[in-house]
Amino acid sequence: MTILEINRKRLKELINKELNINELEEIFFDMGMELDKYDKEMLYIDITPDRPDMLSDEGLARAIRYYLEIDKFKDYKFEDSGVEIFVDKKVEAVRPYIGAFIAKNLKMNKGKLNDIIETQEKLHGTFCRNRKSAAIGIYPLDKIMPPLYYTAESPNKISFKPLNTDIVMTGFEILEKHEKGIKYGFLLKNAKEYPLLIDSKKNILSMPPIINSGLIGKVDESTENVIVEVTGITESRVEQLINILSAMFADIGAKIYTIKTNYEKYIKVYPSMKQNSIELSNDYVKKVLGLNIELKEIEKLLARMGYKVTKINKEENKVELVVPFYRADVLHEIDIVDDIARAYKLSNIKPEIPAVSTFGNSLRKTKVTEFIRTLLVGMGFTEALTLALTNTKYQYDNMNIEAKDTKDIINIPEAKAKEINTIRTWILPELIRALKANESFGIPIKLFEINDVCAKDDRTETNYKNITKLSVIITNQQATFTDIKQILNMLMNILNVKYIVEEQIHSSFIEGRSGCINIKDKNNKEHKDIGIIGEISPNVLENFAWRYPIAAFEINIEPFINLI
Amino acid sequence: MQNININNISEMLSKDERILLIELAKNKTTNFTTLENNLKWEYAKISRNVLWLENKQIVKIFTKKTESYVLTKRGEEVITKGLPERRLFDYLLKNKNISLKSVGDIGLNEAECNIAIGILKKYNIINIENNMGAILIKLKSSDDSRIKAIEKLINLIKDNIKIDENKVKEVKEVLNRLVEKKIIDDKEIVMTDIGKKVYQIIKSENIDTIEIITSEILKNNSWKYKKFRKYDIKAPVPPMQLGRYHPLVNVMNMVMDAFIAMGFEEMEGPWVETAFWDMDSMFIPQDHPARDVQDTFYLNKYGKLPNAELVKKVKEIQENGYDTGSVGYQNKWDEETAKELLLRTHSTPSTFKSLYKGVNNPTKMFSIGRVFRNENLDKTHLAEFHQIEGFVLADDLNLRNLMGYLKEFYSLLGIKNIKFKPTYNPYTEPSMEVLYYHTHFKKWVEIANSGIFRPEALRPYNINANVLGWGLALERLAMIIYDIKDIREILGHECKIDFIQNYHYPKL
Repeated sequence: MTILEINRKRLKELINKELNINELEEIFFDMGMELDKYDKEMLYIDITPDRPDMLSDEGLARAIRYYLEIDKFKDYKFEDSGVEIFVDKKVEAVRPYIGAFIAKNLKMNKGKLNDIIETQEKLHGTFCRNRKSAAIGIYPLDKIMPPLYYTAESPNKISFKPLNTDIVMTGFEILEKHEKGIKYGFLLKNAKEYPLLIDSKKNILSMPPIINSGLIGKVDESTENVIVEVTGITESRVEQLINILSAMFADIGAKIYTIKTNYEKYIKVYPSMKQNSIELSNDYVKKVLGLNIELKEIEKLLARMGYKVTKINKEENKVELVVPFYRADVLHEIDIVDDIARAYKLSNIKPEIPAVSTFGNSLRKTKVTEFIRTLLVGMGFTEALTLALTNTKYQYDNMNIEAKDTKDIINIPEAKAKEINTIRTWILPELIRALKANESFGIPIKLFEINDVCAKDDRTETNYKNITKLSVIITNQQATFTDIKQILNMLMNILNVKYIVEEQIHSSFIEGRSGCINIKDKNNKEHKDIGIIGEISPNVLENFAWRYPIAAFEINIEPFINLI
Repeated sequence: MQNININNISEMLSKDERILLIELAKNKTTNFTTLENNLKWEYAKISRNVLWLENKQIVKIFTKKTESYVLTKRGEEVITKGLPERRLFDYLLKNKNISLKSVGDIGLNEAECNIAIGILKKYNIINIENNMGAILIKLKSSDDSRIKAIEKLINLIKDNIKIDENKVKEVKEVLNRLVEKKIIDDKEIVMTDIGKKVYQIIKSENIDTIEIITSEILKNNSWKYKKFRKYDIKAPVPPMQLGRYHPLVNVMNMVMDAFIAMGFEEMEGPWVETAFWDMDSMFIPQDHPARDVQDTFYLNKYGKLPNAELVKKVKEIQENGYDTGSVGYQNKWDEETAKELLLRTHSTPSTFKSLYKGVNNPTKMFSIGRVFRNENLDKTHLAEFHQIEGFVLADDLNLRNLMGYLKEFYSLLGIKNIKFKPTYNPYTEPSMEVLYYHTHFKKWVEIANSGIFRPEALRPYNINANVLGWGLALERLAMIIYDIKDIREILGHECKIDFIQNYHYPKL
């Protein structure tokens, strides 16, 4: 979610129309944005990540002007500046692409400067993937001597005064000490050489994508002419971003001039202003939206979304159109059809259920678990639904189990919630936690959960699988082996499954009062050790600080699914 | 009141209620403390029986706010250990005089010592003498009547017995730290006119009615010669425990019923997935923000990819659109990135795996399962929740049909008022948010995400038909249904058993 903050007066100026909050809210809604909140001065608008071109006051206003038919398709024309950038092969290993343009006569003021910086930061956080895929630099043109050189240098040889400091720093020092270096240093983590943009006088403009020079890389309220530059690891992203920025600067009122980037093998001119021409068939529109719209109307709807229709072909029932160069989200005709729906307004489209005949059903496993659920509820058990994400402390340590002996254990290394470091392999410990969290409820408590856990399985693509287990727990002044075996016995009888409990030592249970559960299927085939039953060891109870006896069993129900 | 049958009421009285009523008849008003003292019953028993008499309109309870003295913490200590001055006095009685230094031996701390010496001096019971630097305490008089007076007062206060305000004021200084004034609710029980009439009947009656009917009574025929005590059938009964489905499972089943009624078949999928199935298989770009470690649980392990032909198609579609007419993301697609293991961030891998395995045309499928997001835990976020997901595959499906299915689906769940808002999803276009009007909050709230699957997402599975899909969070729906503000009340070990046993029929 990216919020664009825009001054209400400014928006009114930009779209040349006074709109009240209800009208604005409706327009934003229909276009696919959301008025998150507003006050007397500002609007806070939630913009979806596919529309980086709307992340500036100008970009948003441009879209609204088209939508409200205040503007018709505008052709942007940029002249050649004559400025060139020469790209050193060395950048290929770290950040291979660069594009730039010049914007003159900005008529800069404090508000404008703030807006530009804000848009830059919003784009960095979203479309640029935290500066990873692309990063923007803006410089005062008048302090720079073209041509420019984009190269890479080993960090200890780099030395300049970065923005917002008075100290000369090396590349290393910037990453270690400078605020921006600390924040974005991870982008150069494995790089032997750091990218560097310099002018013909060998003055450093910046060390992309981290920081500009404080000397010739600082734009302020008096800056009238700027170079806007984008470096990145994907050429398409650099190109799209330059296009978006040039449209924005042009809408601010600046005059835009192109800059030539000289790679070793080819030359590219930025902004590319690449405008795709697309043929859109009205049959396709009808197929996707289920609407019969006349070509004339289609043309109008497209214009309201900023497209230019260049030809209407009535015979073949299609239109030819141009996608504006600042749109980065149009990958396929389907994206244009989507825009037509937005202009048409979703609330004008009538829902309709088609005649598609199929039969519904649940999985056999769902039916079996549901059956078991009814039995346990009938026996007076309350169903719990505990979390799958948990901690090895509960799953193993507290249960007297050596975690390293458990082959199924899954480490979750980077959980934001400190509590989480694993995913459960059994449910019982989580049920004991549920008891503990319900201490004030009193006793007796009878709980069960029938749900999934994770287990190792070398036959899958991931080496893991889910298995469904049933865990049943009784706690009271007394809770004996007999109490819990009664439940198991009842269940097995009703499910018509032959079973035996064989003595087995398990460190979570009292020795001599626990056993593993073996069952036999219809063909007399044995499934061994599919569960464990017994009285919980006082040690375990102590670990969970639970003062009443617990008897419990946990059983894998997968073998039952085809058995009953 | 005239209609009330006094005889009837008197026949409803239990043995204890009769005893209580006879006791109450002795005075005009009675309070609980008096009853405790006279009947020697536990407080709970008295209060229960008083309540039953009140239900039968035999008594009325008046609550008076009265100011009364209560013991402070220090006062309560004194009750068990004795007053410091008493302890020092008793010691002096045995030893006549002691040095100031040895006062500590009695077990008084320094503060208590000072208090004890100060008070005894004031009462003129001791003398303090300086014997060449050693300070001695000497007993002067063995009259402890003033100590006794304080002790009596404290004991009265302890027993909640009303004491004369003036008496407290006299010894205010001594009592200062031991007692304090508090406003307390003093309940007084007064017999009503009905009560007085009932009393007239029962006072002369022989109380030998049948309380609980037992097999013994049936066997020995005694019921033929005795009356049954009439029960107050309007009296409230204690709550009980029961077995119950978890409220979230209840909603899960509601949703499942809706899907099955609409002809959907169930599907499922594992929690651990490769990034390929979680993201790449459905045209989610490799630099999509949702793939960040910030948002996704990665296991720092690698899995295997499905067959090479599929992987190649996915790669080409992501890089350049392949033959879909799309330009793709124009970004290099990395196979290793696709092999990373993670906890699935949504249940959509089940949908795409179904498409991969092959499905009939037409097909409708759904799943309900847990998904995982790397979140900090709070009122509205858990790191896991249940996602509900459904898709329809058929020829010639369009946006109107998607709206139709969503309207029908929600109407089966009891949500009639929904609207649609355009939005963005990487693998659907057009995409729509579903909002419903929350009558409680009086605003439109998002409840689902939906869309038509993109051609780029379907191409790897050679699907020419259209696929409509939608997904929503089960917990969100359940929180609306049960009017819950904290997600931890509906999922996880912190759920209250009380809630699980007592929630109402889910309804919207």
